[in-house]
Order: sequence, then C-alpha cells, then structure tokens
Amino acid sequence: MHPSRVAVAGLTLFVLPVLAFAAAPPRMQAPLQPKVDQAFFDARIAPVLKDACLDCHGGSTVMSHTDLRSEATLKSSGSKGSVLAVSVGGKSRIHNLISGRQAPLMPPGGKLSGDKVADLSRWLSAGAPYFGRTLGDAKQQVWWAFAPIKMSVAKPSTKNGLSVIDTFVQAGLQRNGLTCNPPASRRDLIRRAYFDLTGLPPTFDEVQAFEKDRSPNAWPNVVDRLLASPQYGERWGRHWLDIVRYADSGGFEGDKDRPNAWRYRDWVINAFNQDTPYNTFLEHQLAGDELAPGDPAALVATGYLAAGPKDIVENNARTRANEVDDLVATTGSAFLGLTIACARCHDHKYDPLPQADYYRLAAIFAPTERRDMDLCTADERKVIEARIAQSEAKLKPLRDEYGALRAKGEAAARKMGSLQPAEAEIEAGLGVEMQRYRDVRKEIDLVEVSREQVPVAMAVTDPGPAFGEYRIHRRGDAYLPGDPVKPGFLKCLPGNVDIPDAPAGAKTTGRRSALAQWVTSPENPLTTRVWMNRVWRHHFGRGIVATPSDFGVNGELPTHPELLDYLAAKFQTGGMKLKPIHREILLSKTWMQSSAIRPSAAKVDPLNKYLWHMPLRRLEAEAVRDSILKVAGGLDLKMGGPPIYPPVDPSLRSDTFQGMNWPITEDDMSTWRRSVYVKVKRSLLLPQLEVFDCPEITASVPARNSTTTPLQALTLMNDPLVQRQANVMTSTLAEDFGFAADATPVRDRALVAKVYMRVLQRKPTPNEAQLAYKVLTTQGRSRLCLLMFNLNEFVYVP
Amino acid sequence: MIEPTPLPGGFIARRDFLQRAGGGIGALGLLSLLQEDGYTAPPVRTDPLAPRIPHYPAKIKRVISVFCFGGLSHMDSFDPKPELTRMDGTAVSGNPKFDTGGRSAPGKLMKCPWEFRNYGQSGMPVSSLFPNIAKHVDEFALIRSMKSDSNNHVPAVYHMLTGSILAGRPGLGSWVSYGLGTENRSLPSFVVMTDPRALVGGGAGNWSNGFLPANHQGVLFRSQGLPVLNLTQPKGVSDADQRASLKHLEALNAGFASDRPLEQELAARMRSYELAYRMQSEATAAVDISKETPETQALYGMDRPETMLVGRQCLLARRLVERGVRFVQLYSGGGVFDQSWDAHNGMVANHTKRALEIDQPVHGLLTDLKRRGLDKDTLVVFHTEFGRMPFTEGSTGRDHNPRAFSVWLWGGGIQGGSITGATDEIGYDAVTDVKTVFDLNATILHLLGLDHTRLTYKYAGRSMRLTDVSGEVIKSALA
Repeated sequence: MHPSRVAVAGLTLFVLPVLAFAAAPPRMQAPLQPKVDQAFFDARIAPVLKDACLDCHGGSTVMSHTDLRSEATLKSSGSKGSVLAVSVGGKSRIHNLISGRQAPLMPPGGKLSGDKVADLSRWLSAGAPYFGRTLGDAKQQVWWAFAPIKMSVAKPSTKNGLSVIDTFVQAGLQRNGLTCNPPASRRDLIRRAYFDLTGLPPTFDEVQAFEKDRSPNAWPNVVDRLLASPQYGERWGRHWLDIVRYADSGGFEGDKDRPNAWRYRDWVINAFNQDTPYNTFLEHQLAGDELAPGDPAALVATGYLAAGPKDIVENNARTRANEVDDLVATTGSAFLGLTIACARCHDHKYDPLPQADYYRLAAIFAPTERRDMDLCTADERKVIEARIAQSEAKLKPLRDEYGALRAKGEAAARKMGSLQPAEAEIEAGLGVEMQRYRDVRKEIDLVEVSREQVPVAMAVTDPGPAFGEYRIHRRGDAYLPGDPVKPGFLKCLPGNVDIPDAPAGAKTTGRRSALAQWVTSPENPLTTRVWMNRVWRHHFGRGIVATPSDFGVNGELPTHPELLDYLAAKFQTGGMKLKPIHREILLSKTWMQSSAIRPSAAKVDPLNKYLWHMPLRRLEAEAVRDSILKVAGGLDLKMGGPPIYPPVDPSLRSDTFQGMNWPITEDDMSTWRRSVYVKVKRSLLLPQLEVFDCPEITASVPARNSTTTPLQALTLMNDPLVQRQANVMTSTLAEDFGFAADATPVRDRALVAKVYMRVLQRKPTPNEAQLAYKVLTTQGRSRLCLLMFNLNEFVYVP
Repeated sequence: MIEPTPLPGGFIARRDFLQRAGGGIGALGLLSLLQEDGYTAPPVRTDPLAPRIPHYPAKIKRVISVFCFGGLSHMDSFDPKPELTRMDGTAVSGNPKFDTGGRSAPGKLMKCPWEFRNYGQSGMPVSSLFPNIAKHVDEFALIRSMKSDSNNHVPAVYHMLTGSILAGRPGLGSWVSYGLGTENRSLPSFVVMTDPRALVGGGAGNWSNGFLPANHQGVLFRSQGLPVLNLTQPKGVSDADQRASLKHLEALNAGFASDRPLEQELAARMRSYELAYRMQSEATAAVDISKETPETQALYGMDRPETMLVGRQCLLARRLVERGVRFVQLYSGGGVFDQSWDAHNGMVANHTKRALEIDQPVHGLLTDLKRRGLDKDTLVVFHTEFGRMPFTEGSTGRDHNPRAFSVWLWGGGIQGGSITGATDEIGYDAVTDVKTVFDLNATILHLLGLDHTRLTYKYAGRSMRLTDVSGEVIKSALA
C-alpha cells in the first residue's frame, strides 16, 4: 500500500478496498441523478410499495382491482380504466392519487413523504418497471442473513458414506442435474491439505507414507496432524490479517513504522493454533482491555483497533472521524459482513442500515484512543532503556550526519522547484555527497534492524465517563453536527439496545465490551455465518455467499443457505472452535473430490457454484515464497517476533521517500522465514509478494485477486532472491546425497529424481526425467532447480 | 461481440478457437520456438492478445492517456469565465446554490489568477498555465461540459478510468486491449506510468483487468532505470540460456497441462512467460532514450529539472506507441494535496508547479507525434477526475467540483479547434451539451473502431460494458 493512496482514500469519505471486486466495496456516492434501475427499484420503490400499498393492493386483499405485486398485475390494475392511463395534469391516475392531485389520497393513512412521492413519480414516468420482481404480501420479509440461524437444520439423511456437508452439496448438485467428481488421488489430497491448512508443501516422504497407509484412519490422521502443527496458525492467521487490514506501518504520507504491531500478528497466529473460541477471539480484539484487564495478551489483542491507517500529518475533527470510520467499517465488514460504512453520509441505499445506526456504532468507537502500553515493569523498562540509550549514543553521530545531509538535499530540491521533495530529488540535490548519504544510511540500518525494544503493546484505551456526547455528522461531515446519539447497535439485528452510561469512576466507557458481547451473542445471526462462509471460501475458493464481506441486499445470495446454517450452528454448539469445522470439511467427499473439469458440468455451472469439482488454485503470494524456501531446504520455521526485511532492489528505496524506511539487509538465513513475518509496510510491499497479489491494505480485504502477469514470470525467472534459493537447493541436495561437486551421469539422473521429489513430491515420468536431465547437463543444477520453481505444477494446487 | 463469447468460467469453445486459428490469427510465438527444437506441441490454446479486427474501420490504432490526478481547474486552464472575474471576491458562503457535497464551506468567488489568450486559427482561449500546449488548439477537440458521478478522488478516478466509482472494473486500457489485442507481442498491450513521487489515488485499481482475462491488465513501468524489476536475467545467464530455459520450461509443463486441457489459466501463464522473455529485450530497448537526439530530449523538456520527469514519461509514451503498444497511460500527480493537482491549499502555487511540469513535455509529445506522422492514428486524451469550484476554499484554494470540468482529445479523427459544451457563467456547473464519462469513453472506443455497446464481456450474469448502460459518442468532437 502506498501511503499517499491511504491518504487519498482517507481524505475521501470512505476507504475503498482496491481490486476487491469479488466482494462488494462500500457504496458511497449516490449518482447525481439516480437511474431507474433494478437497484433503484429494490431500494426506493419496493419498500414503499410493501409498506404503504400492498396491505390493500396485493396479497390477500386486492381493493379497487388494483394489485401492485408485479408489473403484470399493475398494468392490468384499475377499476375506472388503467391506473397508469394519463389523467389530470398529464400524469397517470396512480400518480395523482399518490401526490394528492386527485382524490382519494393514497395511501389513505397520510401522504407519503416528498422523497417517496418523487421516487415513485420518477419510477412511474419510466414506465413502472419491476425488473422481473414480484413482491410478496404486505408482511415485510426478513432478509435471509438477518433471520436467526436455524439451529436444527433438517439434515438430509446421510448414506453411501456421505457426510452431512456432502448431503447438502449433493442436493444442490442434483437440483442442477450435476454430480461431483470422483475422489482426488492420494498425492493430490495430501498436497491440497498441506497447502490448505499450512500453506506449505509436504515432503516426498510424507506423501509416500500417506499413499501407503491404507488404514481407515490414514486421512483423518493427516488432517489432525496438520491442524495441530504450528504452521496452521501462520497460514490461517494470515487470512485473518487480510480481513483486519493488519500492517506494520501507519500508511498515509510518511507511512510511519509501527514497531510493536507484530505482537498483535503473533497473538492472532497463536489464537488460531490454540483454537481460541471465536467469541473470545473477537471479544479480546474489540475490548480486551476492558474484558480481561491485567491479561497482557488481551491488551495485545486490541491491536486490532489500532491497526488501521492513521494520518499523522493532518489531525482534526475530520481525520478523527475517518479513524472512527475505519473501526466502524472494518468491524462491520470483517465481523458482520455488512457495508455499514455506506451509512456514514446517508441511510444505506440498499440495506436496512439507517444513518443513525452508523453513528450509534461510531459512538462506541469515538472514545477509543490509541495507547501504547508497557508489557514490562517500570524497573525492567529502565534497564532496557539504558541499553537502548547506549546503542543510540553510538548511532548519534551517524544520525546527525544523515540528518544534515538530508536537509541539504531537501533544500537543494526545493530550490529546483519541488514543493514536497521525493527521495530521488533529495539525492539528486546532494550531488557528489549522494554516495556518503547512502552509506551513512546503510550503517544506521544495520544497527536498526536488530535493535532492542521495550516490550510494548500497540493497544487502545478510552477516557471513561468523561467522554462527552456524540452527534451524527450530517452528510458525513465532521463539521456539521446533527442530533446526539447514544452508543448502541444495529436496529436490523436482535439485541439492539442503547449501551448504558458507564458508572462514575469507571476507567473506560465499557462501550466496546458491550459491542463485543453483542457481536458474539448467539442471537447475532451474522457473526458466525460470516465467519463460516470465510472459512468455506478458503477451503473451496468460493464462498457459499460469493461476497464474503457483503451479506446485504447487494451481496450474492447463498448457494447453500442450509449448509451455511448447519456450519454456523455446529460451530456455535461446538464452543466456537474452528478446528473441528476444518476437520469436518476436509473429511467430506466434497472437499476430497478431484479438480478435473468435465465439459458437461462446466457448461451448466461454469462458476462452480454447486461444487461439482474442486477448483485448481494458484498458491497465494506467501505460499509461493514459503514453498520455494521450503523445497530449497533453507526455510527457518522460527515463529514470531519483529518483522523481517528481505532485501529489496535499491531503486525501490530511492524511488519514493516512503521506501527509505526499508532497511538495507542481506539475503541470508535471517530472512528465510515464513512470509507472514515479512514487514507489512503499507507503502512498500515486498515485490516478490506484491507481484503475486499480496494486497495493498488500507481497508479490510475480503478476497484476494489471483492474476497472471509477465511480471510474475520475470520474478520467478530473474529475481535475485529466487536465484539464491535455487543455489541453496543445489547445495542442500548435494548434502543430502553426500556427494561432491563432480557430476556423473548416474548421479545426475539420481539428482533429477531427487529434484522432482523435493519440488513436486513425486518422481518424474521417464519423459520428464529425460527433459530435466537435459536441462541439468546443459544448464546446470541450479538452473534446473530454478525452472522447477517456475512450473505450473509448483504454483497450482489441483 | 467482437469475438466468441467466452464462457464465464474462462473457457473458449474449442471449435471457436479453431475457427479463429484457421483464420490466420493466433500466432503462438513460443510454440513455434518449441517446434524449431522438435519438442512436442503443447495442447491447443487460445490467445487473448492476438490483434483483432474492430467493429468498423478505425480512425486510430492506439491511445496515450495523460491523466491529471487531483482535479485540474477548468476555469483556470481551458474554460475562461469573464463573469467570474467580474464577480471576484463576492461572498457566497451560505448560498444554497453552491454545494460542495458537504466538504468545505464555500468562501468567495475567485477569478482565475492567470491570463487567458486566444490561440491558433480557431482562437481557442487557453490560460497562461499552458502556453505550449496552447500551440496545439487547432488540432484538439475541447470538451468543456464534463460531469462526474463522484466528488471524491478515488471513486472519481475509478469512474473516469474504469466507468465505475467502485474498485474492481477493468480499466479503459484493459478494455481497449481486450477489444483490439496488441500489435507488439513483445511488450504489454497496456502500459501505465505513475508519478513516482506519489501513487495516484485508487492505485492499481485504475489499470486492473477486473473481470477481463488477466493478460489485459495494465503493466506498471517504473520511473527510472529499467521499466520493471527483474527485467534482466541473472548474471552469467546469456540470452540463449534464457531462451533455452523457457523452451525447457514449456516442455516440462506439458504433462500437467495436458491432464487439464480446459484450464485456461495454465495456458495463459505460459504465454506470460513468452511475453516476459520478449519484454526483456524489447522493453529494455523501448526505454533506452539515449538513442534520442538532444534536440528531441529538449523538446520533451528533459534538459530541465522541473520537466525532466514528465518529459521522460511522454518520450517513453511515444516510443511505446511507436512500437505498437495499444494503450499508454501516464499520471501527473499522486498522493495528496500538493503532490497532485488537488489545490485545496492555494491555486497559484499548486497549479503553477504542476502545469510547469507537464506543459513542455505534453507539447513535445504532440509535436513529436505529428512530425513522425503518428498523429494520424494516435489519440492523446488529456483528462482529470473532476474540476474545481469557482469559489475559494480557505482563502486561496478551490475544492472539488464534479459538476464541471474540461478534457481534450488530440490526434486522428478529431475535429481540431472544436469546443463542445459549456459551463454556466462562473464555471460552477456544466449546463450546455453536458457530457458524461461514458460519453467520453464511448468516443475513445469509437475512434478505435469499437462500438461501445458491442464491446462486452459476460460476467456475473450480465454483458458488462465500459460504458455500463449509457454513453453516446461525442460527434461534435469528431472530424
């Protein structure tokens, strides 16, 4: 993420997820002239017809021969000729009845508001289209996602070894005349499970052991082993970090580093590994400081609230409102699957989310303040600080020199007409001193990367009852205060009460803990549905609801609503533990089917909505890099701690001034760690990750892209880091074999087999062995290893 | 439709492919390389970047988009407002007529701080911000009545460049690439150059392929040195080695692909390697501006620090279109406030600096395209996401104005010296012959020989268009 983009997004009223078309981003601007289209009908016409008209003109009662349930019934409506026929004043009779121009006024209970009359008028002028919709009777139907979770879904009977999940999926397939694929091969299965649960490939031996193990428990044992491995938390924790817009820097101009953000990242990974119940998991992120005072881990968990981008240049009511908006929007979309942010300036155009609801939630977060809190005693702090001061003293002359050079370069750049000099301009301004400037910087960096830190939680607090009243911002403008609001929840969901005032003397307002309990209440139908859908999406490449962060009217409808409720209910009754859900999914025939494409099925269901096959999927950015490190033999599975900085091209550091914060490092084992630990700098993503669609995070990222570009090819063929891993693999292979550099045809053929076993966890076919041998003998061992990282089979999981 | 409707899953019916291949299209470079070496041919594949025949004869073949990010003030550049000068200083705060969408409070009407002069035979007025661009008025079609749907940068830029205020739609260049393919298989069909000092709002969402095949994504070229990272092979690896490696790779990939003949992504991925390989030499050569004469470099302003950056981008744009790149997009400005044209804090300092940076380079670009005869089949679009308000924000700034702004088109098929539409007497609102983003994009596609209502892609159950469900070609701008 480029900080300037964060800044721009922050300036706008909403922060837009970029490139996240799979999910519906918040809708923010009403077009200047809304079109009479389906969305207009759904949002502005259908509700009015349902609320004001259908009681008497539809459903069980059809008065005056006028039935407004559908386009067809409307067009044949009217007791004195068509209600659509032109009448007094050149308008239709129905228009005149609504606007009061003709008697009797409709609806008889009182004239509709000016807005509604205007909407209806525009719609009628457009020919009163229903866009194929048929309205139900007067009773407002509850939107599926807001209805209670069916705790005892009528399960189809399970037979033929089908699990409950399978029977739901089978039902959907049958309805569409489809069948699912036969089971995948054992090699495909175990590789799929490794990537799915840990983001790393298995070893050849692990694949072989599974292929040979014909005991009935072979498969459950693999799944259980993977769920118990620490790499599981790194994989699934990373999924969560996308959703909560985690980064190690603050974005906006300057993109200031957040040296303590990583503790939250580690807390997330640990929570997945511990299978922390989802309610506790969410509660601690929203209000760990209030709910578990004295628990350092719970304090670290509130890093969720501090993880959003923050403008440190501008600080006023508007930027503050943007920070609160980040919390409302992220909590809304990440936990509840709602585009609440759309209600910042006006009532939500599509979902039952009035603007007041937005500000009730905003009032919960408004008192929240970022606050770093020590995780050590005061005495310990003193000792650590003394050590830091010592090393800082050594750096002082270098820092001074660096500062002076920088100021000089800046002044020169300004003289050349630059209002906000970029790093390249500063360097250019330095002339012959540029090299010295770079060298000083490198010296400082080498110390900085491994410098000691006082253990601090990047956390939050709030001022307690002292916090004053909170008001709606009219049109979303922080400078246009409207009516006061009480902190509270969403009216469209159960349990919407005002949060009581905190008792005098309370340390915090308690608003966030009230929110946490409301979000995780078993009565809240969205929280578990949304989470189960995300989990499903990661396992199958597509959610039961295809828009994972929009369960509203504009989102996609669930393809298997009962299955979603089954999973949600099972999750709730199982103590909100995730691992049993993973297990049940991975043991289903649905998940275990092959990825083959049958043209007949593809024709019926090209998007694979009904899961007639397991889609072939490209590894995510982190999994590509981690897999290379693993098969090369150099991966260090060390967990946690401050972020690592794999070296980046020097030009990236000088191209933007934000890049300057990326220290100069060496490509050695200290950086051969899993990608979840790579510095997430909003302005400078590690190029090897960025090129494989690692997202630029300003707001919650519901779904990543999966693109195919020549830049990916250039990265895997030419990048020095990839090249280095090919060399690492060459030497670790030689160690495995225990032979020296001298090559013989026998050894080379054995080496080719070994390469395949490492990289693809299988032996080569005779044809492949021949080809690979040719590569090895003509281009060398390292080149063969490099080409293996480039294979489709390496980056695609069947 | 210009091509067989791809099935939503990304497959193209084999029969359709064979028809196209039989029609002589579908040159598969790497495939032929392989056959030279006697390798087995990989399975049948389709080629989304093959050149395609437009719907009707095209006026132009390629487009250069110069985008002023942040909001170029129309009243201060291409849309003189004498009445605004007359009313300069009139307080408008609290006047309900003026709506900033709840952004800033309107202050006082503020005249243009620059002088307007008439240029060319057409006598088109241009302010002293653009004395060099002004020399081309007789060849460009100015549109003064543009409107946008959004008052905020990111959605407005998305709207302008992808047709939707939301992220996730294909960019204009992606649609053009999809519609026409590319003429140079060794370079991307759609190249983007951003302001290296700060990224344009909305970032890569502006040149995303959206739901179109991934090959149509814009490729971001860097501002200095080699245009993309890793463009050169590692030390010690010769070009012949690299070529041999790619042939080996193709062969090693064959088994996995032949087990999965319907997975279009696998074929697309191998094509991306072919393009990557060719890019290594072609892109390196394309950005080697040392081949340009000092006179040409100076024409683009590369001899002066303030114009060097945009000058290089404009020169690269010419070198790229010359080589058959279909769509080049370059951005002036990014980030916030004075890193862009977003002159909230004072018009004079902001627009003076920005205009100085692009005036000579864009003039150089137009001049150079013309003297090389490239003006006949190249279109240059000069656009921005919205205009600015006729009244002050703070004391000397201007806030966003989506109700009115100016853009111009230059090049093949254009009615030179024409002015379409008008704003009201102070430039607050476009009132005459109002044009939308869809109209502008429909016009660009039209010049390329593409009917915007027929350039569709089936996605999410709809035939998607760049112009959604509206848009009319701006005939008054066409020759």
